[in-house]
Order: sequence, then C-alpha cells, then structure tokens
Amino acid sequence: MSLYTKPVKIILSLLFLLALTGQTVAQDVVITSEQSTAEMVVLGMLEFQSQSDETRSLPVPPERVIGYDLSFSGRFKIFDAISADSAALGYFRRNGALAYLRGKYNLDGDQFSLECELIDLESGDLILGKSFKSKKSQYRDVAHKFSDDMVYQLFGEKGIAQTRIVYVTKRAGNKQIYAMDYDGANVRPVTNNKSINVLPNWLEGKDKVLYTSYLSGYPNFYVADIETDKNSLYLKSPGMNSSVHYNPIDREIVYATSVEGNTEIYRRSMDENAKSIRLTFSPSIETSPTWSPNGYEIVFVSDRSGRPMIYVMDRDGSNLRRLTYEGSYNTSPAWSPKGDRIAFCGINDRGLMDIMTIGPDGADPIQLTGNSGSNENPSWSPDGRHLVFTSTRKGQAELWVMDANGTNQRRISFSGGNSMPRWSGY
Amino acid sequence: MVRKHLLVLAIGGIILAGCTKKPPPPPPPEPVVPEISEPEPPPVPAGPSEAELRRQRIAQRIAEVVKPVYFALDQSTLTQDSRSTLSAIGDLLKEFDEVSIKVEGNCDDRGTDEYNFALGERRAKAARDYLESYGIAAGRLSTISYGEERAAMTGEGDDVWSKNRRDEFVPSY
Repeated sequence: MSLYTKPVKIILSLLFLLALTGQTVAQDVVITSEQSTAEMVVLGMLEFQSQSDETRSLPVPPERVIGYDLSFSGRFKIFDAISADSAALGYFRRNGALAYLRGKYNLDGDQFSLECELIDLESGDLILGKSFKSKKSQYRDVAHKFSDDMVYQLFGEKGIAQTRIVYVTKRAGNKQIYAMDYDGANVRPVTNNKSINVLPNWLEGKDKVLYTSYLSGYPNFYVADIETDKNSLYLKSPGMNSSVHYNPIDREIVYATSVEGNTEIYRRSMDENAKSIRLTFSPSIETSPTWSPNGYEIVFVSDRSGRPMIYVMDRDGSNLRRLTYEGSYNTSPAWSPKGDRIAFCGINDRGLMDIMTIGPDGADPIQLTGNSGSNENPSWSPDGRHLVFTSTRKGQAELWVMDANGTNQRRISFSGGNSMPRWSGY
Repeated sequence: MVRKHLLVLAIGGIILAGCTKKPPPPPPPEPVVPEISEPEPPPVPAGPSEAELRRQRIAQRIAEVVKPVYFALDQSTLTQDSRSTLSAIGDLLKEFDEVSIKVEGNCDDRGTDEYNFALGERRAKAARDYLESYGIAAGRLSTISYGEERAAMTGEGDDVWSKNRRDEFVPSY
C-alpha cells in the first residue's frame, strides 16, 4: 500500500468509526466504560523531542499545549508515553488508539520551530505532518494552530484552540478589561485607566473589543484593538449605555440605553452616520440584548412581567415572545452559535445564580451548574461546544469553562475578581 | 550631647553672621520693599465673608441631611424612611438655590451586571423624580447608575447586600 492512499484510508476509517453506532465503536476502539469516549478519537501522544537545551526556557513544552487543546475539544482521548518503543505503541494499541502524535521542537534565540506528525499506529505511515516557525513569545499560538489543524483534518470543522476570551478584572480597585487565550494563558490588559470599564464583547474576530467605560464620567461605548493597544470612543449618548453586542453578518450592534429616559433596546449599523433604531417600548427595564447567530432575532432581558425574564424578538422588534417562566430572576442570555440553545442564568432558592440552557422555543430547559457558588454570565465558544462563565465556587469570582452539557467544569483564571467573560470568534 | 549643642550654636552663629554681613550688596532693593508692604492693613477684619459663611452653612446642612436611601431586592420603590430623607434633602435644595444634586444608583452584586446597571438607573431616577415632585427644578438634578460597580460594602449576606442597594447623593455648589 502506498503512502498516498494510506492516510486517506486512515482518516476515512476514523470518520467512519465516528458515524457508527456506539456498539460497533465500542468493539473496535473503546475499552473504558466512559460513555462519552464512544464519540472520541483515541490517540497516543509521545513526548516531543527537544532539539536544544534552550527550549527549557519555555514555560511548558508544546505537546502539553496541544494535549490540553485536543482533550478540551472533547473530540480526542489522549494516552501519553515517552518514546516510540514497543511498550508505548502496545500501550496505545491496547487503549484503542489508531494513530499517535510525535514531534520535535527547537528554540534558537527568539526563533521557535515545531514539527508535528500524526502517525498511523499500525503501518507507521504519516497521516498528517506540519511544521511551524514563530517568535518565542508566540510558541503557544503555533501549537494551538496544529491542534486546530488536527480537528479540521479529522472532523472537517474549525477548532477553537486559537480563540480568546475577553473579561473584566478588578485591579487596584478599578475594573479593567483583560484578554486571555481560551486556555487561560497569555493574560494581557485591554484597558488601563482610572475609570470603570465593563461589559466587553468582541467586535470582529478576536482582535477588537467593544466595551462600556465611565472614562468620560458617564457610561459610553469604546473600542479597543488588542494588537495595537489603541482605545477609542465609539458611541456617546446621554444616559446609561451598556450591553453592546455585535452582529458580524449585518455589521450591526444591538445595545441598551436610557437615552430617551427608560432603559430600552436599540439597534444600529456600524456604518458612519448610521441612526439608532429603537426596538422596545415598555416602562419596564429592557437590557442584555444578544443577537441570534443568523442576525434575524434578538434575545434579551425584560422585567415587564414584574421579574426579570428572558424574551426573544425579531430584529425589528416585532414578534415578541417570552422564553422563560421558571424562577424569579432570569438574565444574561447568550444564543449558541449553532442556534439550537440559549444559555442564561437564574437565581436559585439560595439567592445565588446558576446557568441553564433552553431551546429557542422555550422547550427542554437544562440546568448546567448547581451547588457550587454563584455561576453567572455564560458565553459560548464559537463552535457551540463549550461555555465560559463566572463562578464563585472557590471563594473569589473566577472564570470557568464547561462543555455545552455542563460536564468538564474547570477553572481558567486564578487572580481573583474576574467576571463578564466573552468568548471570541475563530 | 555637648557636641551637638555646640554644633547648633555654631550654625546659629554662622546664620547670624550671614545676616549681619549683608550691608554691602543690598542697597538698591531696600527702598522698594517697605513701599509694597504698606497697603496690607485692609484685611484686618479676619472673619469669614458672607459668601463663606453661607458655604459653611450649606456644608453643615449637607452633613446633617444628605445620606443614602436603601432599597429592597430588585426594587426601586422608595420606602417611608427614604421619602423623609429625600424631603429633608429637598428642603435643603429649596433653602440653597445654588446647590444641585447628582443621584447615584447602586445595586448589590447579585443578578447580572447589565440588569443592575438598568436597576441602578431606575433607583437613581426614583429619587430624582421624588425631588422633582417635591418642587426642585429638574435642571438641578442629575442621575447616574453604577450598577453593582461601587459597593459600599464587600462580601455576601443580607447585611452586606442591603447596604449596597442604595442611592447616594453628591451635592455640588
């Protein structure tokens, strides 16, 4: 069999296995009793070979970054070993792996290089090989790039390993906007002023952030460019302006403002000289507007029933309907990128908040957190497979991530006083 | 000890010596100085002006009557206590035309930030509206919401939360 046909066959067989029933997969691949493993690709992972002592200055070796990415994606189950001897390969095989990863990396001054290979466990043939070069400071980025290449090769979908999370952190008594990689690394400031900066949201991709700041004394919208560190005023109007959310399809924002007295929801094109269009008309509070992924609808919070609850309306304000009835306080809605679920949080009977998801038609509510402090502000990963949120379960408010069904909850921030996370696009 | 005293004496001696040694250079400036110092006597009255007295009275009245008003969970309704606090503030505003008030609405840290910004605004406006209905011109009243951003107390529990659900009043004059 030639090297050219083999990779295709392996990839097809991996995909084929995914399409099969749990029973068949269990026979061929899985030896553990974990239910979720049935949908996973099992991989061996060898420790990558360092080509020089200089690489010791890297905080963690690149395969650790890749290993975290692949495990986090929920698509891979990884078994680690040191070197490709028969014991390691046998260990991989016994655990149901069809292929394994190996790699080399080097650091020469500021120049980082990385070679990664996915090898067919049976034949030893190369399935996927990639090499990267970057500055030392960006070595995690290229490792993440390889993780996303793996997801794309094997699943035909974009991975989230190169995404970012923007959030609010309390530093020296002030609230500032910060950004981090999705795995909690590369924490960096987005704002650095003496004012209150809150409610960040991604503008386009993962470089620009819209946020609310009291910089001028009153809350207005600003744009920050993470790469250039530039911050500029975007929209200023009298009253309380907050909760801005961008829709990249129509290049429009939706936001809440009390410019006409009561807090209502408005829509506005990003074009210069665009006019704001008012969408709600009610003496109650209307806030937290968030676009549906296709830009047709807006989910928001209103207390028109007497208590804050989740509502949905069309982009022009018509066709309004109430989504949640349970509990006494539901807020912070976030529409999943796939469109099939809306995450929100509600106050439980202990006076703390928990995160739930519900169908856009109000059907099938599922609670994702419980008995673990206050859990707020859910935001979806761009592939809709994960959520980031704030939790006080360990005392201080920190950022946590979980799978869309509530499993695999893990903490990604450790400095205390972190909140309002928003996951970037790809 | 003795040495230090000697040193002080020695330094004093140098300064005195320095002062007494002035004669040769100063002649030109000498006549100018006394002429300027002549018009000083007028401010002799030494007591505060009428305007200052008024400002002192305002500050005193502010210290007496301006204090936060508190709200129930997720509410912006003014309690009986809040109304009497606001009436006293209203009386102060009637007494002193030059005073204006910024009402700052605040929330406890439960609920989400966005909703609390709106709720804080509603609380600020509740007090603003009361003062307006009490006869204070709208132009002397402004509002801002800090949502849950400016807690008066940090922590959890009803004692903390109830202290944070409040309007604060910032007078200027």
